[in-house]
Amino acid sequence: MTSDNVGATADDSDEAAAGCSVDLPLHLIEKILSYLSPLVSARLAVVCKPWAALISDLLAKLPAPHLFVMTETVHRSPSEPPHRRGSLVAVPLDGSGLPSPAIIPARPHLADLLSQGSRCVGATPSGLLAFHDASSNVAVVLANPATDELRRIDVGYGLMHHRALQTISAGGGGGGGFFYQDAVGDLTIWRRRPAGGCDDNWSKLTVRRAAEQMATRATTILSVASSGDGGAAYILHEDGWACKVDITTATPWLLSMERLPVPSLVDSLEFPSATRFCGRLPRAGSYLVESGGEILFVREVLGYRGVVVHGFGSHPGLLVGFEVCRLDEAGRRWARVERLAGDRALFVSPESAFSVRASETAGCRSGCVYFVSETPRCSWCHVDGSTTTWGVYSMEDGRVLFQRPVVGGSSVGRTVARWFLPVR
Amino acid sequence: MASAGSGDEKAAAAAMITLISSDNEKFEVTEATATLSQTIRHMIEDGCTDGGVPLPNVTSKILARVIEYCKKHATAAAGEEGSSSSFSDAAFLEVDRAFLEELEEFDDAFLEVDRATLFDLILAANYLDIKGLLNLTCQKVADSVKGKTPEQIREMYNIVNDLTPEEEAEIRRETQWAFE
Repeated sequence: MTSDNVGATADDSDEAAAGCSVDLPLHLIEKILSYLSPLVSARLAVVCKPWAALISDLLAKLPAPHLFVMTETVHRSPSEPPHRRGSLVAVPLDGSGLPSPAIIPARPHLADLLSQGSRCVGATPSGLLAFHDASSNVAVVLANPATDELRRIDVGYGLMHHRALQTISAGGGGGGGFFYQDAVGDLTIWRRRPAGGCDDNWSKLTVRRAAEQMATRATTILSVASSGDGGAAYILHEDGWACKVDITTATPWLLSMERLPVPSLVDSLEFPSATRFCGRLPRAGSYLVESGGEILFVREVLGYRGVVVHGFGSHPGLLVGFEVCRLDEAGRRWARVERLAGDRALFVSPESAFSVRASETAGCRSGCVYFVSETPRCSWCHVDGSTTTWGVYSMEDGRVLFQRPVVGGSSVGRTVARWFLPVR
Repeated sequence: MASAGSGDEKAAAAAMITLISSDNEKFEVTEATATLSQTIRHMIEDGCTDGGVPLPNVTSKILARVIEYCKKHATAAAGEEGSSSSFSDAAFLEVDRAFLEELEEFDDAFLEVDRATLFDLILAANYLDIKGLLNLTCQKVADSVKGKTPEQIREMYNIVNDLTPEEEAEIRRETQWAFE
């Protein structure tokens, strides 16, 4: 802003500057502020009252990760199906008490889906939640809780089996897609076809097991992460081995999983506290996340402070933190990460883990792990139901900054919570 | 431009509009230049531009600058339309790129004005509904605000801090994340 131009005299510009603050109507100031990054604008909220109000509104419009909270109340009569209901909860990521979290009940289509007993099986980074459709039993329903749009994708036979099936969701190269492991253990990738204009045009890609796994039964997939460009998917199996699927291959009908030449996380010495559980990674609290071009393994660390030993077992552990390591493909190892690179924060919850740019997310601190933790019900203590909490772990400080009960659920029954990024 | 068929393109280009500033100065511009302003475009569509368009909110000094911008960008728009319809070879794209670069240079030079003029341009662009100019000028102010402290901004724009120390402390606490 130089005033040595256009021959404006000092008097001129002074006079005009005096009028500056009153001259521009608020909607134009808002427009100007909207050009700033959230980080910059947040720093300017203290300029004056009108700016504070404008900036607070602008920040509120940012896509911040929300929790999708679902409660299941089991009725006393066995003939009655469990009652499920869901809500979207905008939790204050900065941990402030106020404003209290906004709880928005699921809108009609989604509420219907839940009342039929459909189970949430994942979330995509593009703002969709995935459900197993309880009514048809052969479909996965992708729901956008922000717009209440549902999309039903027929995945075929798999759901007829009695075994619990799982969908593991992850971004599929921009257009959106999801990964699906059926009861036999085979993996398919469902991608939306970009062309055609028809929204429900999905293609199915079958993925062959890795050579090492061909002889054995397929192991359960714990987590899937897509590479930043969506060209490859990284898959973490329960046995601690990570595999890679190249999606951009010239022969998409012949996708195959390739075991990465890095040690299994179950045996990894760099990662001593990964709980060894009969040679398997524990199902809860093991995540693969893509963050700034890196593939990270994030693992919940439980502690047993003040151990309560019951007759045959101990009280479930308390979450004390997270360990993170980075996939070093060239070095053929998992390397410990003490601090997250760049301006990143991780959001981890079962079947839904992703990273965000902290400065573009209101109230979000970089270098932190935002988690959801479900403490299983202790059958020895006389406590009704499990407790589901969310909180923040700071990697730099090496401690949990805060941990709060998930609200929006019910005090009885099971509450599950998933992070997702609302997209309109 | 879009409304004119290719046959009477010349006639449409030749159609002149008179714009009258708040201090009664008259500016003759082509319709193609004037219709960069949605406000004026609507007036032309409604057929109420005979005898000139009075713009009581815009001084001659600012209107001259706005017209300068519109002339340059109207040529750019015409060039773009031509390129998409008849040319697509590499040589032409090269010319196109050179022209876009020139346009960018023009915009940069155009924005070298003092603060008061910049704000007047924003107001004029808003009133005349010229999207390109409004975006350009708002972006310029936003850029000038970047990296400044709240104190510097208050000083730059003569803004009175009407927040009580308590309110200020509260806002600082809420936006603590941005300072870490």
